[in-house]
Amino acid sequence: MPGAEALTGQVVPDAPGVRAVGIDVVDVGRLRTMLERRGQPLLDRLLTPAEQTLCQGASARHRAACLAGRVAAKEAVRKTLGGHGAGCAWRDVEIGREPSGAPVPRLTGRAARAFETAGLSRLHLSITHEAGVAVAVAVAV
Amino acid sequence: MNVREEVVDVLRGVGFDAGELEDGRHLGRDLDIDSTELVEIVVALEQRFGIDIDAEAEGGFTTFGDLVACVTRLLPAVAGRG
Repeated sequence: MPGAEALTGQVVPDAPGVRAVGIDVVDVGRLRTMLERRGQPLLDRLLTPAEQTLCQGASARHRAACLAGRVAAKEAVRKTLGGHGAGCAWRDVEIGREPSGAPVPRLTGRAARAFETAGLSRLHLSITHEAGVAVAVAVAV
Repeated sequence: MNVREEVVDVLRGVGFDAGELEDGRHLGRDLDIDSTELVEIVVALEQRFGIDIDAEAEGGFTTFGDLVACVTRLLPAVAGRG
């Protein structure tokens, strides 16, 4: 019998900690080319209106990096959902922004249900841009 | 041009060679298609065929043949497409 169990006489629940990690990288130029080819329908499939607004108003270069960061972040978050996230739409994961600039994932629809089914309680997210790529890492606890 | 040939044509438009597009080819392992590239292909198919492919179908695509089957299923019966 494990030590903790012996002391309490009960099964100790799993200690809280990292449950899943997701990472994704998006080539900014490649995404920009795709968006130029497909236009608004591709943008609307990938990003919510709020995300599109968030990336407006900047230079074309900054806008492309912002969009790529959001796409990378969505995929990183979806990876933390594992098999539970099958069939999640891109827009089921929205990447907002705190006043501090930190990205904030908001889950709806299938993604929210997958998050609950997977028994996750919180997501942490980080996005970076460098050398023409956007990289995002998501950690689920 | 039948549905399969039209799907091949759409993928040629995003950089694939017709010769590598066989029904059993795995989108990720064989064709090196990632999730971002797949979503562009899905939108390209929607635009070409005038159909709506939902997220569940998008998440279920494993092989090139799955793309052809999905388009075939969603297309109304139109003369000249087989």
